[in-house]
Amino acid sequence: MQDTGMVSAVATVDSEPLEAVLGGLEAAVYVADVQSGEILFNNRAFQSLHGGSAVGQILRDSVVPLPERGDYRVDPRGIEASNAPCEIFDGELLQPRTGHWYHVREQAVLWVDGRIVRLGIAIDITDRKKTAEITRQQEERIAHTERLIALGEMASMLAHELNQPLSAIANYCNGCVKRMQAGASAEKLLPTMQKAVAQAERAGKIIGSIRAFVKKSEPRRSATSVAAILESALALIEIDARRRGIRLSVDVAPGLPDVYADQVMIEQVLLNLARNGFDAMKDAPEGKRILAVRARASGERFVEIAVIDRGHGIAGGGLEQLLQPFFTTREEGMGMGLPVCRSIIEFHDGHLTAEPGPEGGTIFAFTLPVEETARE
Amino acid sequence: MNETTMMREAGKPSKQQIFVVDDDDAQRDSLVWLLESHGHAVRAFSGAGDFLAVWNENLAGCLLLDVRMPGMSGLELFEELSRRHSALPVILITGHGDVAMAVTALKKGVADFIEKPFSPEEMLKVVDHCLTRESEEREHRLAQTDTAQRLAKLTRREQEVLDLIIAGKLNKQIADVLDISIKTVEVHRARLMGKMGVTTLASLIRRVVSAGLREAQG
Repeated sequence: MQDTGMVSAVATVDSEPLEAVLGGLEAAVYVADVQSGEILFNNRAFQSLHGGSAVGQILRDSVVPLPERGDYRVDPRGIEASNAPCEIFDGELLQPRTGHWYHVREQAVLWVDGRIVRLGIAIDITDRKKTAEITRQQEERIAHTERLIALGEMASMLAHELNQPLSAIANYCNGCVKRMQAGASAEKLLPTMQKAVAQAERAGKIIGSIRAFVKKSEPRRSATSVAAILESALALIEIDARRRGIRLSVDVAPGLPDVYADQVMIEQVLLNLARNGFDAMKDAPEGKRILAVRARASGERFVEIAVIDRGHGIAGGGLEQLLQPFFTTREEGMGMGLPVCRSIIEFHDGHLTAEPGPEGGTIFAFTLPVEETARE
Repeated sequence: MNETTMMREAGKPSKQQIFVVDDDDAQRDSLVWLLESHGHAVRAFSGAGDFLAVWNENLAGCLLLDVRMPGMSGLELFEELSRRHSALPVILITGHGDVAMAVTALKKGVADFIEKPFSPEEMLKVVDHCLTRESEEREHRLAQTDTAQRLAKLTRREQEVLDLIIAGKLNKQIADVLDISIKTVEVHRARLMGKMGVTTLASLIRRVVSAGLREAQG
């Protein structure tokens, strides 16, 4: 018994304590054939979810959610005995029938009879997920409110400051018109017209100071690897994608140079563009709900990152309007997302463009300068 | 020649002035230019204190006040003028978001308010309206003062006769009530008409009653 090892121990006499351990777990544990998907073992937690033992049934029809084929790290069907055990999946999945979320971990292991099986553990994380979702929504709401407040304050300040010179200009000009109608000479009106000009300049300076104020939150740019930007942005995007049942396809050209950018700001842009894409595909059929993220060189001096959705797209003239403030195809929202993205990219000396995609939907692409280019 | 007729003959705008109180140089200067261009007499002040220093109850016209001023605000200046029983109508110039405050001010007796940004036409209209009203009210007030002064000059007997005239009594009835001769009533009547500056019964009654002094009399 000593030298037969773990695997045979499961199959032989001493299975009782093991069964007790597995049965006591809150996590659902299962073993299934990698080829047929036939369930070979399920613990008590699995059975209570399933409503009885599922042994002999097909795993995909069971109560535990499974990753899509493309989401496996390695295709479990192609695993050789020599490579086992190895992890094939670790992620959070939604069981659409029950609305429950599970943290699923699967490993390919050698089963007692020598074939390759998948050993899975699924933990119900619905409650945690709900809490996280509520927190996220609250945070979003707070951020949105704060932005509105900041905008409102800015608008109010602008209105107050601009009122003075603008009404002075109107008063000066109206008085001049009245006097001209009464036959006043040009010399008599000249000083007043000059005062009106000075007021117009005052108004211009107010606008200028607001621009300077906005610039105070100056970003920090440095040599940043495109892979690093994508990696941390995609970590967030992936969670959102999974939640919405959207597949991600990432295509990064090898050997891209570093860009001169503020990593956090560019991540914000990517997140924003991805969310736009997700929203656009809300009503798209299952197979078309794919968001592509692509990075490649654009000439020698720029790197282009594109976010491509297969959603409803934007009608002709909409594309030009799209990057203007307050334009939105959504029923809710301020329409501030894309103009902010554009401002960020333009601050980086890049360009943000929107054009219709070849398979429907929209391609949002932006360029960032290569580090050496920016330094020159 | 009495004061009332003098005021009437003088006409409205010539004696009326517009007092502009605004701390913003451009706003103040441009308002003066605008109002003068439209034929108004204007005096400008850069703060509430400067205006209060020249204020007296004989000023005629209206006041244009900016709500937001350092030191005493437009509203505070208005309240101070109310304490002094100033009759000058006040127009408040309010900025962005001051509307609620302006409504409160209206309830307290501010003549009108105008919100920035305003068009010059709008401003001129409000000013004209205020000047017209001020002139009418001042005339009415002067007439009242005039009538009160005239009434004060009547003798006790003349006042008694006046009361009975207004009560609709005939000379004969007045003579009976006061136990004097009709002749004497006629004399009193002629004297009091002269003192009140009227020649007909109708104008006598109109003057005394419209001035609202009938009660004070009786």
